[in-house]
Amino acid sequence: MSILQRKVCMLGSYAVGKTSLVRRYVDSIFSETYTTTIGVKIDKKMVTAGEQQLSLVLWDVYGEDSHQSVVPAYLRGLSGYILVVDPTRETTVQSAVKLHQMVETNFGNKPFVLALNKSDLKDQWIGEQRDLSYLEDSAIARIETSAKTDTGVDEMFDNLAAALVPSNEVVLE
Amino acid sequence: MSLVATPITIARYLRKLGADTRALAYLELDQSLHVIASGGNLEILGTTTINSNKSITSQVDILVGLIPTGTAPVIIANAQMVKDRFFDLHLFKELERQWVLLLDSTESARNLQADQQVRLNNALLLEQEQKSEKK
Repeated sequence: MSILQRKVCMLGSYAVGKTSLVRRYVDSIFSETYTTTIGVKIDKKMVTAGEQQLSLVLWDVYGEDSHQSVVPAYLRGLSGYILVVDPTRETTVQSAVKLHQMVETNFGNKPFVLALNKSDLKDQWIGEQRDLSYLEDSAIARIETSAKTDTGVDEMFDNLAAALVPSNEVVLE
Repeated sequence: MSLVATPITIARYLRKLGADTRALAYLELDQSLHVIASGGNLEILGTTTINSNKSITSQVDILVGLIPTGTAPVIIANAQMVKDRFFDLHLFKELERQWVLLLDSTESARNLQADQQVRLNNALLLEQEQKSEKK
Protein backbone atom coordinates (compact mmCIF):
# COMPACT_ATOMS: atom_id res chain seq x y z
CA MET A 1 0.00 0.00 0.00
CA SER A 2 1.20 3.51 -0.79
CA ILE A 3 2.32 5.85 1.95
CA LEU A 4 0.56 9.20 2.20
CA GLN A 5 2.61 12.27 3.03
CA ARG A 6 1.01 14.94 5.17
CA LYS A 7 2.42 18.26 6.33
CA VAL A 8 1.45 19.02 9.91
CA CYS A 9 2.28 22.35 11.58
CA MET A 10 2.78 22.96 15.28
CA LEU A 11 1.28 26.36 16.05
CA GLY A 12 1.00 28.44 19.16
CA SER A 13 2.43 31.25 21.24
CA TYR A 14 6.05 31.19 22.36
CA ALA A 15 7.00 28.85 25.22
CA VAL A 16 3.82 26.77 25.16
CA GLY A 17 5.82 23.60 24.52
CA LYS A 18 5.50 22.96 20.77
CA THR A 19 9.10 21.81 20.42
CA SER A 20 8.88 19.69 23.56
CA LEU A 21 5.81 17.89 22.21
CA VAL A 22 7.60 17.10 18.95
CA ARG A 23 10.76 15.97 20.76
CA ARG A 24 8.68 13.70 22.99
CA TYR A 25 6.78 12.29 20.03
CA VAL A 26 9.71 11.79 17.65
CA ASP A 27 12.66 11.14 19.97
CA SER A 28 10.96 10.18 23.27
CA ILE A 29 12.94 12.82 25.16
CA PHE A 30 12.10 15.84 27.32
CA SER A 31 14.17 18.73 28.60
CA GLU A 32 13.15 21.24 31.30
CA THR A 33 15.24 23.94 29.59
CA TYR A 34 13.31 26.40 27.46
CA THR A 35 15.06 26.94 24.14
CA THR A 36 13.30 29.29 21.75
CA THR A 37 12.72 28.18 18.16
CA ILE A 38 13.98 30.22 15.23
CA GLY A 39 12.23 29.75 11.89
CA VAL A 40 11.13 26.14 11.61
CA LYS A 41 12.44 22.70 12.51
CA ILE A 42 11.39 19.86 10.26
CA ASP A 43 10.90 16.31 11.52
CA LYS A 44 9.22 13.21 10.20
CA LYS A 45 7.32 10.38 11.83
CA MET A 46 5.69 7.34 10.26
CA VAL A 47 2.30 6.47 11.70
CA THR A 48 -0.50 4.10 10.89
CA ALA A 49 -4.10 5.26 10.88
CA GLY A 50 -6.41 2.30 10.37
CA GLU A 51 -4.97 0.45 7.39
CA GLN A 52 -3.20 3.49 6.03
CA GLN A 53 0.46 4.34 6.57
CA LEU A 54 1.23 8.03 6.80
CA SER A 55 4.42 9.99 6.77
CA LEU A 56 3.80 13.02 8.95
CA VAL A 57 6.14 15.87 8.06
CA LEU A 58 6.16 17.94 11.23
CA TRP A 59 6.78 21.68 10.97
CA ASP A 60 7.69 23.02 14.39
CA VAL A 61 7.12 26.69 13.60
CA TYR A 62 8.49 29.56 15.74
CA GLY A 63 6.05 30.82 18.33
CA GLU A 64 4.05 34.01 18.14
CA ASP A 65 5.03 36.84 20.46
CA SER A 66 4.56 40.59 20.63
CA HIS A 67 7.43 41.10 18.19
CA GLN A 68 6.61 38.51 15.53
CA SER A 69 3.63 36.82 13.92
CA VAL A 70 3.72 33.57 12.00
CA VAL A 71 4.10 34.22 8.27
CA PRO A 72 1.55 32.27 6.15
CA ALA A 73 4.32 31.04 3.79
CA TYR A 74 5.42 28.62 6.54
CA LEU A 75 2.00 26.97 6.45
CA ARG A 76 1.81 26.57 2.69
CA GLY A 77 0.57 23.07 1.82
CA LEU A 78 -0.39 22.09 5.36
CA SER A 79 -2.87 19.25 5.76
CA GLY A 80 -3.62 19.88 9.41
CA TYR A 81 -2.18 21.39 12.54
CA ILE A 82 -1.74 21.07 16.25
CA LEU A 83 -2.77 24.23 18.05
CA VAL A 84 -0.93 24.36 21.36
CA VAL A 85 -1.92 26.48 24.34
CA ASP A 86 -0.50 26.73 27.83
CA PRO A 87 -3.61 27.07 30.02
CA THR A 88 -1.50 28.61 32.79
CA ARG A 89 -1.02 31.65 30.53
CA GLU A 90 -4.16 33.38 29.26
CA THR A 91 -2.34 35.21 26.45
CA THR A 92 -1.51 31.90 24.78
CA VAL A 93 -5.21 31.21 24.25
CA GLN A 94 -5.68 34.59 22.56
CA SER A 95 -2.66 33.89 20.39
CA ALA A 96 -4.09 30.48 19.44
CA VAL A 97 -7.37 32.08 18.36
CA LYS A 98 -5.45 34.51 16.15
CA LEU A 99 -3.43 31.69 14.59
CA HIS A 100 -6.52 29.57 13.99
CA GLN A 101 -8.20 32.49 12.21
CA MET A 102 -5.06 33.14 10.17
CA VAL A 103 -5.07 29.51 8.96
CA GLU A 104 -8.77 29.69 8.06
CA THR A 105 -8.31 32.96 6.17
CA ASN A 106 -5.32 31.76 4.16
CA PHE A 107 -5.87 28.02 3.77
CA GLY A 108 -9.53 27.32 4.52
CA ASN A 109 -10.90 24.87 7.01
CA LYS A 110 -8.13 22.45 8.00
CA PRO A 111 -8.43 19.82 10.73
CA PHE A 112 -6.66 20.65 13.95
CA VAL A 113 -6.20 19.22 17.40
CA LEU A 114 -6.29 21.60 20.34
CA ALA A 115 -3.52 20.65 22.76
CA LEU A 116 -3.89 21.93 26.30
CA ASN A 117 -0.27 21.44 27.22
CA LYS A 118 1.49 21.32 30.58
CA SER A 119 -1.19 19.12 32.15
CA ASP A 120 1.41 18.34 34.84
CA LEU A 121 0.75 21.92 36.05
CA LYS A 122 -3.01 21.56 36.02
CA ASP A 123 -3.34 23.13 39.47
CA GLN A 124 -2.10 26.38 37.88
CA TRP A 125 -4.48 26.34 34.91
CA ILE A 126 -6.69 29.39 34.61
CA GLY A 127 -10.39 28.49 34.82
CA GLU A 128 -13.15 29.07 32.27
CA GLN A 129 -11.99 30.97 29.21
CA ARG A 130 -14.44 31.95 26.47
CA ASP A 131 -11.77 31.90 23.75
CA LEU A 132 -10.86 28.37 24.74
CA SER A 133 -14.45 27.20 24.30
CA TYR A 134 -14.47 28.70 20.81
CA LEU A 135 -11.35 26.70 19.89
CA GLU A 136 -12.70 23.53 21.50
CA ASP A 137 -15.82 23.79 19.34
CA SER A 138 -13.75 24.10 16.14
CA ALA A 139 -11.13 21.42 16.87
CA ILE A 140 -11.48 17.77 15.89
CA ALA A 141 -10.26 16.93 19.38
CA ARG A 142 -9.25 18.64 22.60
CA ILE A 143 -6.48 16.79 24.33
CA GLU A 144 -4.68 17.50 27.58
CA THR A 145 -0.99 16.92 27.06
CA SER A 146 2.29 17.00 28.89
CA ALA A 147 5.57 16.45 27.12
CA LYS A 148 7.14 16.19 30.56
CA THR A 149 5.06 13.25 31.77
CA ASP A 150 4.37 11.90 28.27
CA THR A 151 0.65 12.41 28.64
CA GLY A 152 -1.62 12.62 25.60
CA VAL A 153 1.20 13.16 23.11
CA ASP A 154 0.71 10.07 20.94
CA GLU A 155 -3.06 10.46 21.25
CA MET A 156 -2.83 14.02 19.98
CA PHE A 157 -0.91 13.07 16.82
CA ASP A 158 -2.95 9.89 16.30
CA ASN A 159 -6.18 11.91 16.33
CA LEU A 160 -4.87 14.29 13.73
CA ALA A 161 -3.39 11.51 11.58
CA ALA A 162 -6.76 9.74 11.49
CA ALA A 163 -8.37 12.93 10.22
CA LEU A 164 -5.81 13.23 7.44
CA VAL A 165 -6.40 9.86 5.84
CA PRO A 166 -9.53 10.25 3.66
CA SER A 167 -8.38 12.94 1.24
CA ASN A 168 -5.48 12.17 -1.06
CA GLU A 169 -2.75 14.68 -1.30
CA VAL A 170 0.78 13.48 -2.01
CA VAL A 171 1.46 9.78 -2.56
CA LEU A 172 4.99 8.42 -2.26
CA GLU A 173 6.13 6.64 -5.39
CA MET B 1 28.77 26.62 -4.34
CA SER B 2 30.39 29.29 -6.50
CA LEU B 3 28.52 31.47 -8.93
CA VAL B 4 30.68 30.11 -11.76
CA ALA B 5 29.10 26.66 -11.38
CA THR B 6 25.60 28.03 -10.91
CA PRO B 7 22.87 28.05 -13.58
CA ILE B 8 22.07 31.48 -15.00
CA THR B 9 18.60 31.53 -13.42
CA ILE B 10 20.06 30.99 -9.96
CA ALA B 11 22.93 33.42 -10.52
CA ARG B 12 20.45 36.10 -11.60
CA TYR B 13 18.24 35.45 -8.58
CA LEU B 14 21.23 35.55 -6.22
CA ARG B 15 22.46 38.79 -7.72
CA LYS B 16 19.06 40.36 -7.09
CA LEU B 17 19.29 39.25 -3.48
CA GLY B 18 22.93 40.19 -3.13
CA ALA B 19 23.39 36.83 -1.44
CA ASP B 20 25.74 34.94 -3.75
CA THR B 21 28.29 34.02 -1.09
CA ARG B 22 25.70 32.24 1.06
CA ALA B 23 24.50 29.84 -1.63
CA LEU B 24 24.45 26.27 -0.39
CA ALA B 25 22.60 24.24 -2.95
CA TYR B 26 20.00 24.31 -5.69
CA LEU B 27 17.60 21.96 -7.43
CA GLU B 28 16.07 22.40 -10.86
CA LEU B 29 12.83 20.45 -11.29
CA ASP B 30 10.61 19.63 -14.23
CA GLN B 31 6.81 19.93 -14.23
CA SER B 32 6.39 16.55 -12.53
CA LEU B 33 8.83 17.73 -9.84
CA HIS B 34 11.60 15.37 -10.87
CA VAL B 35 15.17 16.63 -10.61
CA ILE B 36 16.77 17.80 -13.84
CA ALA B 37 19.87 19.29 -12.26
CA SER B 38 21.28 19.95 -8.83
CA GLY B 39 24.37 21.39 -7.23
CA GLY B 40 25.96 22.30 -3.93
CA ASN B 41 25.60 20.71 -0.52
CA LEU B 42 22.32 18.78 -0.36
CA GLU B 43 23.19 17.15 2.97
CA ILE B 44 21.57 20.07 4.71
CA LEU B 45 18.25 18.70 3.39
CA GLY B 46 18.90 15.47 5.23
CA THR B 47 19.78 13.54 2.09
CA THR B 48 22.91 12.88 0.06
CA THR B 49 21.43 11.20 -2.98
CA ILE B 50 18.59 12.40 -5.14
CA ASN B 51 16.81 9.96 -7.43
CA SER B 52 15.76 11.76 -10.60
CA ASN B 53 13.17 9.07 -11.36
CA LYS B 54 11.13 9.98 -8.28
CA SER B 55 9.28 13.14 -7.37
CA ILE B 56 11.45 15.32 -5.13
CA THR B 57 8.64 15.62 -2.58
CA SER B 58 8.97 11.91 -1.84
CA GLN B 59 12.65 12.41 -1.08
CA VAL B 60 12.94 15.81 0.62
CA ASP B 61 10.42 16.21 3.42
CA ILE B 62 10.47 19.99 3.64
CA LEU B 63 9.16 20.31 0.09
CA VAL B 64 5.93 18.40 0.78
CA GLY B 65 3.07 20.78 0.04
CA LEU B 66 5.36 23.69 -0.85
CA ILE B 67 5.82 23.07 -4.56
CA PRO B 68 4.91 23.74 -7.27
CA THR B 69 4.89 27.48 -6.70
CA GLY B 70 3.88 30.34 -8.96
CA THR B 71 6.39 32.76 -10.41
CA ALA B 72 6.37 34.82 -7.21
CA PRO B 73 9.03 33.41 -4.90
CA VAL B 74 8.05 31.59 -1.71
CA ILE B 75 10.63 32.14 1.01
CA ILE B 76 10.99 30.13 4.21
CA ALA B 77 13.56 31.76 6.44
CA ASN B 78 15.73 29.87 8.93
CA ALA B 79 14.66 26.30 8.25
CA GLN B 80 16.41 23.50 10.10
CA MET B 81 16.52 19.86 9.04
CA VAL B 82 19.96 18.94 10.35
CA LYS B 83 20.92 19.92 13.90
CA ASP B 84 22.48 23.39 14.19
CA ARG B 85 22.41 24.08 10.46
CA PHE B 86 19.98 26.72 9.21
CA PHE B 87 19.08 27.74 5.69
CA ASP B 88 16.72 30.06 3.88
CA LEU B 89 14.62 28.19 1.35
CA HIS B 90 13.71 30.07 -1.83
CA LEU B 91 11.21 28.53 -4.24
CA PHE B 92 10.27 30.04 -7.56
CA LYS B 93 9.20 29.11 -11.06
CA GLU B 94 10.74 30.31 -14.28
CA LEU B 95 9.22 29.22 -17.58
CA GLU B 96 8.37 25.54 -16.99
CA ARG B 97 11.02 24.93 -14.38
CA GLN B 98 10.63 24.85 -10.62
CA TRP B 99 13.69 26.09 -8.79
CA VAL B 100 14.66 25.31 -5.21
CA LEU B 101 17.47 27.36 -3.74
CA LEU B 102 19.06 27.01 -0.32
CA LEU B 103 21.04 29.83 1.26
CA ASP B 104 23.06 29.32 4.41
CA SER B 105 21.63 31.30 7.33
CA THR B 106 23.32 29.46 10.19
CA GLU B 107 25.29 32.39 11.55
CA SER B 108 22.46 34.94 11.44
CA ALA B 109 20.03 32.37 12.88
CA ARG B 110 22.35 31.68 15.83
CA ASN B 111 22.59 35.42 16.56
CA LEU B 112 18.84 35.80 16.22
CA GLN B 113 18.31 32.81 18.50
CA ALA B 114 20.53 34.28 21.21
CA ASP B 115 18.72 37.65 21.07
CA GLN B 116 15.29 36.05 20.99
CA GLN B 117 16.10 33.78 23.91
CA VAL B 118 16.90 36.76 26.13
CA ARG B 119 13.84 38.69 24.96
CA LEU B 120 11.42 35.80 25.52
CA ASN B 121 12.93 34.81 28.87
CA ASN B 122 12.29 38.39 29.97
CA ALA B 123 8.78 38.35 28.52
CA LEU B 124 7.99 35.16 30.45
CA LEU B 125 9.29 36.70 33.68
CA LEU B 126 7.14 39.77 33.11
CA GLU B 127 4.06 37.61 32.49
CA GLN B 128 4.71 35.74 35.75
CA GLU B 129 5.08 39.00 37.68
CA GLN B 130 1.84 40.38 36.25
CA LYS B 131 0.05 37.14 37.10
CA SER B 132 1.33 37.28 40.69
CA GLU B 133 0.17 40.91 41.06
CA LYS B 134 -3.34 39.96 39.90
CA LYS B 135 -3.69 37.30 42.63
